Amino acid sequence: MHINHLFINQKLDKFGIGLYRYSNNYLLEKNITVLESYLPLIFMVVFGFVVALIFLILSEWLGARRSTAGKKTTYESGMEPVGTARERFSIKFYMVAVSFIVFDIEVVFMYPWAVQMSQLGLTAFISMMVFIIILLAGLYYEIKKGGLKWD
Amino acid sequence: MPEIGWILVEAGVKAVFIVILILSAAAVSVYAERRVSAIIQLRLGPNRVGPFGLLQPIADVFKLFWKEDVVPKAADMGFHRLAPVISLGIAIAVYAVIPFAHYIEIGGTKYYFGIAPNVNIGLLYILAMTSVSVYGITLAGWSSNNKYSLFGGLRSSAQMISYELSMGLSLIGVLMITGTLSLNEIVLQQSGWGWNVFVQPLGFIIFLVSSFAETNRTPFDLPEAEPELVGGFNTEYSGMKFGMFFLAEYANMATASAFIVLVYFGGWQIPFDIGLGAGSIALALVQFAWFLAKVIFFILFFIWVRWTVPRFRYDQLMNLGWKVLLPLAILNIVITGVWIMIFG
Amino acid sequence: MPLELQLSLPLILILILSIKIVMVDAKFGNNKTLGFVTALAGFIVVFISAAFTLTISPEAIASLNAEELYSKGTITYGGFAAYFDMLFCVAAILTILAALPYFQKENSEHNAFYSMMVFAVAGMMLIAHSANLLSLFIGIEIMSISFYVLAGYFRTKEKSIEAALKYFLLGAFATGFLLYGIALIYGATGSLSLPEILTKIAADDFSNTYLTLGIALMLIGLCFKVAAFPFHQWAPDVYTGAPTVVTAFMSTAGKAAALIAFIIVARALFVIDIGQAAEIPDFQTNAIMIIAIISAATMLIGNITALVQKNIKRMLAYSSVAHAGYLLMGIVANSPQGWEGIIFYATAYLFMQIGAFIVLSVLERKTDKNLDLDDYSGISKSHPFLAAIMAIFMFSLAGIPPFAGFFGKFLLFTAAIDAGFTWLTIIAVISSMISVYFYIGLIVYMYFRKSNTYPLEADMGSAKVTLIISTACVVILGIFPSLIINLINNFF
Repeated sequence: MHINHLFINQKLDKFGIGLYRYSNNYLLEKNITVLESYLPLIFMVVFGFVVALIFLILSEWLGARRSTAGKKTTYESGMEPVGTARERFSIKFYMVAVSFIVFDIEVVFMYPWAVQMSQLGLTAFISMMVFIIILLAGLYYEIKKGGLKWD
Repeated sequence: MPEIGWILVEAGVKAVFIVILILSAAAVSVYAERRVSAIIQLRLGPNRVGPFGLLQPIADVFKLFWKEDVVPKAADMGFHRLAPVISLGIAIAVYAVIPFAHYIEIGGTKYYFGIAPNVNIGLLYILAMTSVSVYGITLAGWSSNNKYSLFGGLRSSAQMISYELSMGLSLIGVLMITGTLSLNEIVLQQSGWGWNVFVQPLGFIIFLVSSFAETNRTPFDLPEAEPELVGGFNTEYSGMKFGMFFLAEYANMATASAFIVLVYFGGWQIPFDIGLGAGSIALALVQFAWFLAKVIFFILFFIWVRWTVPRFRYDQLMNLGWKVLLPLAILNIVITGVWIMIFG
Repeated sequence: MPLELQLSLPLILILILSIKIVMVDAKFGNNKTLGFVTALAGFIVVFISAAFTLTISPEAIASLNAEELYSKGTITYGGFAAYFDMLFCVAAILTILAALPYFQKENSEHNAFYSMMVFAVAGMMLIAHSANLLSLFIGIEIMSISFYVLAGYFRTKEKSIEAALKYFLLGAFATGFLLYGIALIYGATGSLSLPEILTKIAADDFSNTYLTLGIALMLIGLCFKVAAFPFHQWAPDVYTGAPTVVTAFMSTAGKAAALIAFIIVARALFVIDIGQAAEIPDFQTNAIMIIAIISAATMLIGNITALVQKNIKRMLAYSSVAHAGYLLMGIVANSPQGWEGIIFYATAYLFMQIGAFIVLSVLERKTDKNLDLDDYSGISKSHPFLAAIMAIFMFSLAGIPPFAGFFGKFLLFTAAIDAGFTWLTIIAVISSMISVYFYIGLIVYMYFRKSNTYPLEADMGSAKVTLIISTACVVILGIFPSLIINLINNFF
């Protein structure tokens, strides 16, 4: 909180519109903590799912029910289904998933740095550039070794 | 505690309005898509139900509700039901942090246009929710126990996670400039014509392309690719369950447009002084209209692109994501960082 | 900060090298020797830069204010860290020199091997440089992950895959212990910085229960990494299954890195009784007693099991477990003398063990042929050079003067006696005597048995350089141990 106040004053001068006080004001004006300000988010997630559930229930309740054996078969362009869909599929999808996990964690790692960048200064900037170089080296290696090749 | 209670009541009331807004926006987008595509293809499009066919989407919704819900015997019922709920639920939940206008002040209390536009994690929340929505499509593909669905679901999840990276990275450039994750603050910083798109042109282009891929719109609609996958992940869905995916897709398109407007085009900020006092209802309504106009522009842009640009091949799609957009997004971060370090 | 830059140059260079070698592999993947050349040149450069940091006076390093540095006190500079940088580079150079002909013989050259070697050395150097539990952990992880990959380098050989999988699963488990221990130590003292933890413990400002628990868990993790008694089961299988050159590197440099981690942690957690604290905390006496028991059990078990091995690679693997026991005596002694003993013995052990394994790798044939004792019968006739240097390594491993192994043991044993652990020293001497049986046994096979197989062909190539350097070092360190002892004297 203390550091935040220092931060506010700097930003006030820069933009002249009090945007950081604004953020604090929101919490002060409602007299809530930061965590409490997240409550509406949780509410909205629950609400969204409730609405979706209502849609689901309505569709199952209102819809016609004239089921026949033919309707219940898996659709395969009008042919008799061959085997099941529970089969092995291309390793490429796994490669993409693994690469995603690696890179996504690194992206998430950049978010706090990006938000606080102007406060963290040159050391953090150089560290992040080194990090990015390592990241790019990894990407280059993966591409060159054919880890992301689709054919 | 009572403050918390009031906040939740306020959120509840707003949520009802917003859900109505989203669903009607999705329905109108569907109508717009059909009309625009008809204009582009020199057809008429829906024009029978109501004036200019305006009531067509409502008729569609009613039709979908009363359609038979056919589920194949081999499907995994639990997940088959869960998948559309995730898709639509997330599409609605995302709107929690979107500010539609600034605020109105009644009796000294400020009522913000949006459920929680001021939370300090707004942008992160949207990205998190976007990642969750992958589950809806993947589960739909898997639980149908149909080969087309499975491939559609797999393609979709691979595509969405690939473009999520460049999407997240392109936003970092904006975050470095704004120094906040709260959407209302990002909008407030873009007063006048100080839109972020002018300082982040590269980031904007990457973000725009990625959001096309994230919303599974052409030219990135491979998960649904009708000619090869007969509809992809939603092959085995019918009735309103199919409608839920449909609604979610259009709601996501609206979200993406709103997000682009908020982050890059100044959101609800009116670039000129119109002489209305802060907090007045009139100003808020003008802001809302201004915001909506920009969002509609982008929705039309999405539609226009869909009916103009052909679909990618899958390897081209993945190459674009991993070998072009991802390095470009990183380059954007480096350029922005160096710029801030030198001139900031 | 020119001085800091100069001091952290080895770390910066190894970082650049590791990026560079990956790029080389990506760009010129078909050129099999380019990875070797890059790695060799890189290691030599890092070695030289580390040697330069060793010339900077300790006073100048001590005068650096941690808060003003870019590293913010997470990195130690100079002293033993620089020494270990050099040691790891030497080990890596010796290994890759032998690896080139070895992999040519096995028809499995890949540049990835050299990349993983560079990563492993980078991890080890970070361990030696760490002054913070987190950088220590990161170093251990970088090293371990490289080792998991290196152990499974022969990806079509069952044994190699088995070794890699075993090592990975158990290693990941041990890492969990280590990290949980770090978390508890952080909880108990409120700091991850080792100097701060030391002052907190000296000032009696910590939570005893959590610190004890944390140390216990960390001890498990570290004992796994050095392959000490209850957690040594992976070592023989992994060392046998991995490619011989990799084993040479893992069982020496890897062990040295794990021990330097042990020393770094012990220096922060265990108070030396001269002056620093009024009384020794309970957890410390208990922990040191536990380490002493682990040390005794490790050397006994390692040596006794090695007795019955018919496969030389496996025998050396067990003897490597036993040597971990000797090395732990330096931690038990908990004095600068003990730590210096560890450093000297780790240096000596590095040369003799790498040498012995490289002799194996030269004589080894595809599908693990020629690794049994019988295959070495009468080898002194067909390969007098290899037999002679193998004999030197065996004498040195057994601790027979005038070779380097003797002085290492001597330093460790005296340190343990000075710390009051006479019983441990007696056990160490007994187990050394047991070990003489199988070390000399190999010499007997080589010199006094008739050959019953066809003469082996040996194409040494650049492995010859490794063997000559190792032999020279074992002999020189044995005759003039003061060369190293004078250097390491002022580290602690």
